[in-house]
This record gives sequence, structure tokens and C-alpha cells, in this order.
Amino acid sequence: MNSFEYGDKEIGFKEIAVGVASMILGVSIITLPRGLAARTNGSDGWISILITGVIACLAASIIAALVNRFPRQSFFQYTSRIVSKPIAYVITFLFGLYFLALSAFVIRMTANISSMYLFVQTPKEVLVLTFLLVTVYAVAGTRVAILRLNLMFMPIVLVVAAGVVLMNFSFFDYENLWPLLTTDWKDSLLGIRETMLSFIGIEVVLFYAMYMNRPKKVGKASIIGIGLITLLYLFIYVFCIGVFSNEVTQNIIYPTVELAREVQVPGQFFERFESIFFTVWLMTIFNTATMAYDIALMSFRWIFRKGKKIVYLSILSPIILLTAMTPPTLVDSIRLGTQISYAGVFFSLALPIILLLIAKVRGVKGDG
Amino acid sequence: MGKSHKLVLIVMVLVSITGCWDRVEIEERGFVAGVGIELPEELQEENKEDKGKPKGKQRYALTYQFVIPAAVSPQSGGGGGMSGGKPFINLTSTGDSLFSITRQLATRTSRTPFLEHLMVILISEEVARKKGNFANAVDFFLRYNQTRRSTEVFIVEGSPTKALSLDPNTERLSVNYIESVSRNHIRTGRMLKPFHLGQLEQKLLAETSFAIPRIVVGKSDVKVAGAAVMHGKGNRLVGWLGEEETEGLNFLKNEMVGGVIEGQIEDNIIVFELRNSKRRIKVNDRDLDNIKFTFDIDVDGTIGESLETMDYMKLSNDLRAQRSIEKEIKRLCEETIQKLKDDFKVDAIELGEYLKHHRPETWEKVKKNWDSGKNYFSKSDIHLNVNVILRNPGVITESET
Repeated sequence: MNSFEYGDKEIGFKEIAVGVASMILGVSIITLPRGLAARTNGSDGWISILITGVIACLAASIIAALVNRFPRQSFFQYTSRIVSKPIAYVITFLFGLYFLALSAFVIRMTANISSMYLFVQTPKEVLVLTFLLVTVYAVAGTRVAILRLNLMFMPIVLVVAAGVVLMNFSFFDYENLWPLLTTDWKDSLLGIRETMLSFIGIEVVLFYAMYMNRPKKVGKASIIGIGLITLLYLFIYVFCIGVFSNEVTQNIIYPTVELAREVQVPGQFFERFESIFFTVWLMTIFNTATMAYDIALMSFRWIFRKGKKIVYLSILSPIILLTAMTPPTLVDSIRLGTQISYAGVFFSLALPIILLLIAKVRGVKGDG
Repeated sequence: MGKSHKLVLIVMVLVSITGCWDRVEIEERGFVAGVGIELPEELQEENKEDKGKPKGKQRYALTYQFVIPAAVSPQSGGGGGMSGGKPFINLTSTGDSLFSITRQLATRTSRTPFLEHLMVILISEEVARKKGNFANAVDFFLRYNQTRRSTEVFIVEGSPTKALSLDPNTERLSVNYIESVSRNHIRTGRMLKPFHLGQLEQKLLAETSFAIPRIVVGKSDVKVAGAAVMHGKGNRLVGWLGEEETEGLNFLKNEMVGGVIEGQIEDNIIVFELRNSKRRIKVNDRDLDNIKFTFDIDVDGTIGESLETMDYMKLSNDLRAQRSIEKEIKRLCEETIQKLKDDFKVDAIELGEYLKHHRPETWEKVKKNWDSGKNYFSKSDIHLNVNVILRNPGVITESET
């Protein structure tokens, strides 16, 4: 195909910012309000979201400091320099497994949610397989294309998400936001833990930074991406509480979907606003799944060094399919998601800190 | 691309685009517009031999109103056939759970019930009276993925089935009729504002008492007026508020958006059309056994009819009119307060909710015994300050001299 050539394999500031935002934005935009409302009183959850946003920004700057030491080097290259090759193999392998599982989980949740609201009769296996095939198609292409696709989807996602929220304005009841600031610090901490699981995804910067044309700007770009998502989360959370009240929000399995279903605009077309919302949400999920799969593939290729992309795809795809189908029920899949997210917190927060510290102590730098 | 590749591609595309498990032709859908839930009339013991069969606490009779699209559309005249027929049919079935009844109906109708366009849920008084029964009756509608949270809920004095089988003259469906009547809360204070299924879930979860709009079924029409008072513990119906008491409740809950108030001047009546009403609450919770609420109700509006002849351009007459309306609003509110506090001892004004939002510490102390047990609510003291502003006397000042 020679339709349009970008002529370079580099990505810019926007691609990183939007890539981080798309990666974070996944399943949790749908489920976060429930978990957070269960931990906090009234509308106090916004504090947890804000604090977690700040923590995520800190994590992003640590990651940026790490990758800036080794400009234009791959994750595997610089980890080998920091902690020797054998350990780098282990870390990269773990990362590969983690992203593989994340991709599987995201695809499974897509199937869960769409089978609850859209395809009641369709077997979940078919939903998972279909989505997986689309993902594989994207991953089979070039890496830069995936990141550029994010850039194309993001504005649509933000506009529709904001639309869903704002169209509920007539149902918004300020009384529901009260009482303010009554959650004690213990519950707030639990809320932060809950929210933290919704902010995983910034670790993609560890991998994609090497393609960036101005590596110094990595930190700023990822912070902008995180800020965007923090705002979106805040917006959706406050509206969920305002429209449904705290008690109801913690009892709806997918509060954001219900928010979209609540929309009523004169004229029959918008009565089914959730169909538009679903379409758009599937776009963000697609981005998350694709990037996760892509990074998993990248990691495994570094380890085994040989083979074409298509070989890896044909080996990894069945593994993703099987992993996605492992949890038998909704509750099991959510539990799997929580476990993966804990791993995510380790990979995006703890691991970069450790690597950076070791690099500083041993004085390892790039361009050696 | 090789030939074999193309073949594989074609097969894959064919396989993936042909199948759709969830396809339902629109002609096969039974669009349900309204639901009535009541208790079955006679207790028939169907399966006596099945001792081990799961049994609920209560059997329900469920009535679905199906829309017949051909009869609803205005252009149905052409072919003849269906036109002139009733635009809806009602089907009733009984069972232990609403979901199983819904599915059982599939054995009786060619069109399976489709609830995404459900507009109203009518629940009979008997279902609402029994403890826990009411919440059970709506569980299915909250849980089912087709129903919308904006579906309206009413409690029916009389039979829901009868309300659904009325043949209204102004609307095609009786459900449309009920729904449009309920939107008139902007013109009269005698009905509550439409109560959504989503709000109901909130009240059920919050364990606070609440009021639901009432429908009274007449011979050939329904009347949406008055309110059913539901107790937060067990969510059961404790009694009705009449039409005037509902007016009072609307003032107290700050949900009055329009209506008329009749005031007494000498031995005659003036009619005030309410345009706007605002309520503010102040709380003094120093003594839990005697929590003091002060309601400031600011009302403004115009004179709609004046049977007493007086010149409204005179300030003194204006003030007289305002005083008389204030007195009447106060009377309406006090009647409601007295009924809720002394007769029912149930907080349908949702003062508990107010405390929970604005005085969370106090609420923690009283919530166990708010309108049950020690009943802090009925021991509380509600003071009213009503302030009426007469914006204008209408088009004329006097109609006779």
C-alpha cells in the first residue's frame, strides 16, 4: 500500500500526550464512580481523583527523568545498562506478560459490557474474538500508525463523553453533592487506592518515548495527557453523584453507561444516546487494547530477537483469547482486572523509581 | 496478495458479517408502553404436588400494555384493516416473580415484551402496603437492562389494570394519557412532580421516607392527584395525602412550580396564580429531642380571579390580598405537617435527607430513630414564615364597582 507516507517514524509531543491519555482511558471510566462512591461520602470522591491525578503526574515525571537519561534507547537497552542483561530480560518478560494480560482483560470487559446492553444473545467468545481480530489488524501495522490513530480518536471521545455528561444537566441535583468534606482520611486513602487502579497506563511512556522527536518534552507531554484524564474523571464522577446520588452510584455496576442511558433530548433519535456513547467508548478501548498488545509484542520480540511480527501475533493472539475467556463470571473478570491493576501500579510507579535510583547510584547514563 | 490469502480473507469476511445473534425484527417486538402491578385476585394453588418448588413471599399479577403500531400511526387508513381498532392490548398474567411472568407472556403473544420504551409503572395500593413488597415489585425493572431510569412510577388507588384499559379520547394510548396528565404539575400543586424509577432507587437505598404521586382511577378517567406516603423502613405505604395536603407538601419540599391558591377576603374569595415558590430551611439542632426547623417560603404570582371587588392599585388592598394568600399557604402547609408528624409520624418532607446533607453529624446521631422508634421527626418543631409577593393583578383592576 502506498496511499500516504509520513516519511518519518517519529512521533511528536501530541502523540505522547494523547497516547498516555488513551492508554489510561479504558474500562475504568465506566466503573470508577461505583468503586469511589462506595468508599467516600457525598461527592468527596473528587478529592481522591485529584490527589491520584497528582500522584500520577509525579510518576510520569519520574518515568520522564528515567527515559531522558537514555534518549532514543529502547526500554530493553536502557534496563540492560542499568541492571545488567539477565535482570533486564526478566523485567521485560514480566512487562510483556502484564501488557498481554491487560489487553486480554480490556477485551474481556468490552465483551461483558456490550453483552449486558447490546448483544444479549451473542456468545462472549464471539465478541472477544471479533474485537481481538480488529486489534490484531491494528498491531500488525506500524507502531506509529497506532499512535496517530489515538490522535484521531481522542477529540471524538472527549466531545461525546462531555456530551453525555452535559446532556444530563436537567437531572443534576445539587442537593446530592452534599455533605461536603465529611469523609475521614482512612476512607479517602481507600478512595485513592481505588482511583489509582484507574490511572494505570502511564508506563507506556517507558516504551514509546524512544520514538519521540524531542525527548526532553516527554514529561510535559505525559502530564498534559494525565491532566486531561483527571479532568474527565472529575467531570464524570461529579455528574454521576449529582444525577444518581452517592447511594445509587455505588449500586450501579456501570454508572457511566447508565448516565448515557439517562440522557433524554426531545426528538426520538437521542433517546438512544447510549449507542453513540458505546461506539465512542469502544474506540478508546480499542486504543488501550492495541497499545497494550503492541507493547507486549515489542517486549517479546526484544527477548527472542528473531521472527517476523506475524509469527508473534499468531502465538500471542490465542493466549490473549484464552486469558480473556478464563474468568467465568462478571465478578471474576472484575477481580482479574483489579489484580492486573495492582501489577500496573507496581510497573508504573515502583519500578521506574527503582530503576532511576539504581541508575543514579551507579551513575549510568545514555550515549555511553 | 496470493490467491489462497484472498480466499481466506473472503471466507473470514463472509463469516463475520453474516451472523448476528441479537437480531430481532422490529415487527416481532412487542413494544410495552405501560406496566401495572397488583396482587392476584384469587389464590389458586396450581402445583400442589411440587412441594420443593421455590416460592416467593407474594404472588403478583402483572399487566403489560402492548402498543399496536399499525393502529397508532396516523396514516394507517390506507389499507383499512387495522384502522379504527384499539391502538393497544393489555395482557395480564400472574406468578411469583415479575421476570418469570414477563417471560411466560411469551407463551401467549407472538410479540415478545420489549421494555425499552416503557413509560409508566403503576403499582397498586395493596402491593405497596405490605412491608418489603414494594421494593420487590420494582427490583426487576431496576435490574433489567431494557428499562430506563426515567420511567415514571405511580401508586394507584384502585386497579392498575383498569387504569391501563381506559380508552382516552385525547390520546391514542391510555399510558400516554396518564403520562401527559402527570406533566401538568406545572399548572397545579395538587400533584407531585413526576417520580422517576431512578429516583425511586435512590429512596429505596437511602432508607428515607418519601412520597410518590397517586393516581385515582375513575369510571372513564384517571386523576393524578394526591400522594402516597411511603415509610423508609421496609418501604411500605402508610397512607395517602389528599390533594390539599399534597399542595402543602409541594411547598415544603420546594417542588411547587405552579398552581392556584384561594385566599379569603371578608366573605369572598380571591384566586392567586402562583408563578414561583422558593423554600429555605434553617435548622437548630441543639436539642435532639426538639429539633427546630424554620421554613422560609417565598412565593410570587398574580391574581387570576377576584370574586371580592377591590382596587388592586391601592397598596393597602394589595397587602390585604397578600396576607390572605399567606394565611392560606400557611394553613395548607400546617395541615400537611400535622398529618405527617402526628398521624403518620413519617417524614415525607425529606427533612432527614436535609439533615444528612447539611448536618451530617446530627444525622449520624438521629438516623436510627428518625421517623421510627424514638421518632425524632415527630418531636421536631417546624416553624413557617410565608412571604407572598403579588406581582400584578392581571389585566384589569376591578370587574365591578
